[in-house]
Amino acid sequence: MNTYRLVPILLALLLSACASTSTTPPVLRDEPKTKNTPIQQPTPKPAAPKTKTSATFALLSAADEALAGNQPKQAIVLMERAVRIEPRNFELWIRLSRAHLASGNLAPATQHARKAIALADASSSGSSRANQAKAWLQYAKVLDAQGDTREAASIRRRYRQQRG
Amino acid sequence: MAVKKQRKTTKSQRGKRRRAQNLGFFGRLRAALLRGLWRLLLWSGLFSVLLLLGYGYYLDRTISKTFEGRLWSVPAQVYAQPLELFAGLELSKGHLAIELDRLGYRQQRDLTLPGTYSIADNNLQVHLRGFRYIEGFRPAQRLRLTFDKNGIRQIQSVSGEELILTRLDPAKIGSFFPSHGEDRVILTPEEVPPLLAEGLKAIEDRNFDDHRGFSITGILRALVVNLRAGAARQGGSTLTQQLVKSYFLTNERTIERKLRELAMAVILELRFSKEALLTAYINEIFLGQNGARAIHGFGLGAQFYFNKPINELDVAEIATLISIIRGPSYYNPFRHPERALSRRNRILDTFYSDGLIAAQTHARAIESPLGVVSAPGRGGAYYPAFMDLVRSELSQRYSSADLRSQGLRIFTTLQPRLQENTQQAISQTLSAIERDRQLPANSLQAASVISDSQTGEVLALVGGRQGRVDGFNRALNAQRSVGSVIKPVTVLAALNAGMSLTDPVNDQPITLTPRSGEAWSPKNFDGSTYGKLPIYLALARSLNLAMVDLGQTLGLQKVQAQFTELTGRRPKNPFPSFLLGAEAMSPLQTLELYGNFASGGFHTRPKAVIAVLNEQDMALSHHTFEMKQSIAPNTADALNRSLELVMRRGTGRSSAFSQLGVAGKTGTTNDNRDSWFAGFDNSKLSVVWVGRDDNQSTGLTGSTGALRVWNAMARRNGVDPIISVPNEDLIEIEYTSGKRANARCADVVLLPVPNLKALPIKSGCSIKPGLGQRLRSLFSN
Repeated sequence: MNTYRLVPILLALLLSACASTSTTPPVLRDEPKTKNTPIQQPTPKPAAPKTKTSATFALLSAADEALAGNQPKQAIVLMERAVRIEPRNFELWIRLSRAHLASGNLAPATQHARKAIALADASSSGSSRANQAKAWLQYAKVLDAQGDTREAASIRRRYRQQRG
Repeated sequence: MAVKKQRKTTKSQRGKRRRAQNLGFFGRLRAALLRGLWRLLLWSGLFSVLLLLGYGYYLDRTISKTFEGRLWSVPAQVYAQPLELFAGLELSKGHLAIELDRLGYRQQRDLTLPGTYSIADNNLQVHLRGFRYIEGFRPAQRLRLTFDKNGIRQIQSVSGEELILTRLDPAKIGSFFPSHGEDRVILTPEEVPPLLAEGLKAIEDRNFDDHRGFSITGILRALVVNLRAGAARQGGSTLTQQLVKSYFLTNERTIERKLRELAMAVILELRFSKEALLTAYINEIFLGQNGARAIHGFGLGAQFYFNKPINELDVAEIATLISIIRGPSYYNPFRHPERALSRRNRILDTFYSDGLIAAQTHARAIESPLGVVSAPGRGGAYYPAFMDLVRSELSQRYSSADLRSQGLRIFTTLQPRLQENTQQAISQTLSAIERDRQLPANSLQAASVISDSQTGEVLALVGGRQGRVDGFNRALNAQRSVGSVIKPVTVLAALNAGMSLTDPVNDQPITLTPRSGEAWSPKNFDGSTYGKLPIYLALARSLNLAMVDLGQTLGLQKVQAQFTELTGRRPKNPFPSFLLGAEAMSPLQTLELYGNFASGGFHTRPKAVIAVLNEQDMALSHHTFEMKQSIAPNTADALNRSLELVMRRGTGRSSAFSQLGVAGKTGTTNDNRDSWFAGFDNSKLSVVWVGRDDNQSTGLTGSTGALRVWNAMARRNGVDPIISVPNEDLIEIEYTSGKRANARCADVVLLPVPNLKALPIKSGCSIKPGLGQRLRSLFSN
């Protein structure tokens, strides 16, 4: 890779770092200020530690147990609960797609894999390509189940090397 | 002997005959009449006995059927989303206390009982109630939550074990009670607090354990009291008679009704145990009215008056509920607290004199205030507008009879805090707008729906400015023209047709004459025209002529097909005015349309139900996430960036939140009849409509009406800014011209441009054009 191509990538990484530190969502805000308080431009709160993941991880473990115990519906309930906590976490959508695939629900398995792909594209955390690879490989599994093995194989060829 | 007897009989018969002959005709007639009368009496007696038996059988069937029917007729209970608690959640100690108060938890030092909490320096201790969730039962648990400036730092059990995740019990937000309005929460005999059972007997029916449905002494005592008072002061009815009376809900005061009640009470006593009768009474008795909803039974009474489950009621609260029975209106603790307090204290005295409570408990209870929740239904709040959506969703799978009688438990997506905040924002902002613009008070109406942008689940739904009134639900049923809110559909159709956001459109006067119908000459809102300008700018400024030009370039059919793809509905308006939003939609339908954008390209039907469980906690239906990809991710990203520009630079810029990272579109219809705003941040999508029910002009635009309401909502609910993810296609564009530029030479915005070679470059920006651009500039000059 030459130097000219490295510069925009480094710039983009720098920008993404700035973006992720300055725009973490405030989940709850204070009640409205009194009428006499001048309206100020609201500012996002500083970044909070990423501990949502451990909460959702706990749910995923419980969901795995449910799947192992042949209770896919229970697993889906638990995973959807995890998604409600972190709706933009593409990995949760991958797991949800897997659970639906295990239950033979191909339509939601397909759509949730696509959702994971869309969110992995937009995800600012981790390596973007590795994220995309994870999501696409789940999609390939769904395609296999649908009988579209050619497309699935083509996706695998494209993304296997990039999986992080 | 036999011969003698025969002789005697013969003699007697002969005597009779002789006497009869002597009596003559009238005598015979009299005897015949007597015989007839005797027979008549015999037959009518027999007939009456049969009739009485028949009537008794009828009464038995009626009362037994009603009793057993009520025993199993349990309205479905509807729950909101429970609040999840985990380390790292940005929830302050104060906010958690508000949430606990909403659920009826009491702040006190002693945390022995569930439903209590205490606050110390940087921690909050809580004794969570046990609850049967979709996944199973979570027993009551005592927890200690530690906070830091960001929110919850740690959750520990009393034994010091760290918990990763737990949740509050969900708020009960409604139930599907029968059309005659009776709502109830059924208690089993084991769930009835002993003091309630004993207290009821002490106050209402001292001989309950001994009598057979009626009490002669009770009736005589009431008679004496009433005669002395000269008016009906005391009823002599037993609990069983009151139960019968409650079943048939009549105030008719006739002897016949009294007798019927008495007979039915006797039948009930013969058929059912005392325990079953007392439990039925506790579940049945009328305790108050809340709008169209009649509060029946102590289970629901505890929730309605004290916002907590019956097992958490203290002595004074039990006494208050018992005091209401005598006159739910007269002793209404909200309207007549002094009356209710005085009667409650008399009841507490009886509890004490009967040895049901100790002296110390009595003294403490007498001193305690009534303690009813300040606003009825604050915690067990009812949200009729949201319930309409739940009802409509469930009607596809369940009959209304099932919902009203099968004791189902329905888990929904509603977030009570968001709902309350949104309702408040609407009510207060409409009043403020009316005041500022000197509009008649209460002339404006509004509706709003908020959903999770990724899952499409409805988190709040407001159907009008008065939230608790079960009236016309504008969020679901008001069909109003959406105006410019529809314009992103045309822009999306353009992007899908291979155009770029920077491609030019013509904002110039236009007259369209359809094959059938009148000629149509649209105008811009300010009456001006702006010539050639990029698509994103036309959208940001909401220019009508430019959008019609773009729609004409694409073809109306293509735009309408795009609309169908996004909503699953065919447009009602087949004319080009569709391009400017002459299409009637409800706020919920508008939410569905914008859900495609907010989710990054997925179509979801807004949904309100997560699961339905039967009385045995078996899931009857899971309403899992359903979605279908409707827009390619890159295209959705491009469209959303243009909607962010609407907020940062365009018609949404007046919002205090416009620069934070929110996307949206305002809409105004002809003569300012409808004011719309549809917008989203990183996690929530909101749609707001403001207008008048009579469809007259409000004088409001999308910005001055609906956007102002949205601002108030955002102030209360918070904003979760959209995170701008770097994208190889993002190019610096001069905002006003759509040309490639940079921050050193122009006022720029970042937009994705897939085909950079086609993009003109602003001169003087030291940007090297590619070969294609050089050639084009050669030809264009």
